Amino acid sequence: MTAQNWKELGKFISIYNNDIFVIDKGNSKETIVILNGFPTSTYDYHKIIDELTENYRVIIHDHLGFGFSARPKGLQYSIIDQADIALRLWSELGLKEVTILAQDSGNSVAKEILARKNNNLTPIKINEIILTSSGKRLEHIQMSNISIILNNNKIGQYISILKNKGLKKIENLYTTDKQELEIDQDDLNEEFNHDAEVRKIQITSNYIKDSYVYFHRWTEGLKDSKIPIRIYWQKSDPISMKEIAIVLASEKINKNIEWIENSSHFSIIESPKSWLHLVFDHNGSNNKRSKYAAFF
Amino acid sequence: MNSQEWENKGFYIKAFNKEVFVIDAGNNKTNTLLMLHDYATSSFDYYKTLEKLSKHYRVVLIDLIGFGNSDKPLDEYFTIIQQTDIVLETIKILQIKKLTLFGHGYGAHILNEIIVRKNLEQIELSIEKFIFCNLHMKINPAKITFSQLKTFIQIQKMPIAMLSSVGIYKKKIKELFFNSEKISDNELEQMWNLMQKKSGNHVINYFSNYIEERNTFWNRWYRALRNSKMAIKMISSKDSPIALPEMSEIISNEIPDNKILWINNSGHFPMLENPEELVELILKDRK
Repeated sequence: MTAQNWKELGKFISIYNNDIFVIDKGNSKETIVILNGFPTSTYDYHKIIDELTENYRVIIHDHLGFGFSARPKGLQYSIIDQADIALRLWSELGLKEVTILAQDSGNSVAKEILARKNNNLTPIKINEIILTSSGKRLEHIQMSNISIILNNNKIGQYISILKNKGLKKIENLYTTDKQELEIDQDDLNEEFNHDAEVRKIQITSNYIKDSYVYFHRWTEGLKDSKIPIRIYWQKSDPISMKEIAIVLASEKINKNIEWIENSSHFSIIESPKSWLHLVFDHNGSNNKRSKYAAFF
Repeated sequence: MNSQEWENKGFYIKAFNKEVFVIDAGNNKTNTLLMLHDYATSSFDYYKTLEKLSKHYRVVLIDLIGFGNSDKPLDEYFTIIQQTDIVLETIKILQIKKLTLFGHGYGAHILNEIIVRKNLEQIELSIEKFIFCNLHMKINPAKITFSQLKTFIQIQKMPIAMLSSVGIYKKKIKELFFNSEKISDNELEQMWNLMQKKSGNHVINYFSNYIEERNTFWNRWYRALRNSKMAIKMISSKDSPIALPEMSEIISNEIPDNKILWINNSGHFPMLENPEELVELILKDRK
């Protein structure tokens, strides 16, 4: 599937005066909403959407500023803003009851939505939350130093200039699969220019900050959750290490949280079938027969 | 007025599992004014304005979570987003349907967040007017002079220094006044007591989280000010070392048809230093 095919699958819905790209596919009664990671786009999901629609009505949107969605100039959007947009979008689509599947920084958006749900500040009913990491491995081992630099707004700009010149480490930071990225860049972002690149990196660095500011809010949110939560984590992924810290802080306290190691590093891009198997063929602690057997 | 007498004036409610101290004064049934205090202070800041304002309004004062008499979570940073949830829930519990909101400094950020939610149609509450007092935001260093920037940076570090002893606390707070004689030793001691209560001094350890959160929302809040069609009044002290007058002007320029109401010879706490002028400006143009 090319990015163009992907675009044709979806439509644009105006949310708070910004065009949001959304794919709404499948006729199942059960709905799954997907919060993908930044700064990648929903295109990551093209390999698994068909399987997902066998069991779900699948809703996936590009976050504001990413993929095919609008990119308002000169503005930064926080995780809180992205949560506002997602909730409004789901309400516009008339969704009453959903399962949330989130990935990487999409996890933060999911946790913000959970924190609101715990206080009954949003009407949507959430059946389950699945938090995953994408399995961007190896490259991420270098992440810590780079993320410190990226965290500095001023220096971040220059890093992105270096990135344009092909600085390898930074390139790798946003690359999971070289081939995929080429398709991604050529097809998705024809108008992609230097400014957009600067912003993308700044935005990402801001999201790293958000998870620092909201660490306690989101930890509390997990502790208080009455909604079942499954977390898939990987040892080699420093981003999910933060996840692990949160889980460690809350696992004994909340029996609704389940923590599953993705020890084989399955990912949507490299091993979509195995990934689906891992996440959706999950029997859970109550040992029910999996309804997702149809996938395999 | 001491901190005990102040506590006796109010009562406690439970909002989202947190105990919130509230003072609900005045008999006006149609006009309500809710006032929010700055960071590391409490509703006690308003003790000089309460009586006068309650002749014109039902005045509701809240101690924000982490401050004054309210609950103080010591092992977590309580975000502005959560404070906003608590304020809105308190309004609901008190069955207020329509009100004017007043926010000072940190409290003004909660007003910022309420404007956002109002713009996004997330809340139904009817708000007559937003009154920002000494609103400060992330600043662009290019727009102010170097010496102002230096003072500003020093002040950003102040809350931590403030905690070392009551003596240093008094000295630091006095520096925020235009005329430091306008605040008495007794007042400062009451403020200190309220901060120390329930080990609240540890809350201030999260000051850097607050600054970070404020920076995070720079765009979210600015956007909302630009796009808001609601009535916004800005009151600023001419001599606040925290909310620099230049900063107030930059913010005011962002808001359509906004004019700053200035208080002369006033530091960061006009409610304690120039209560009469402040009351007058709050009441000005009132329906």
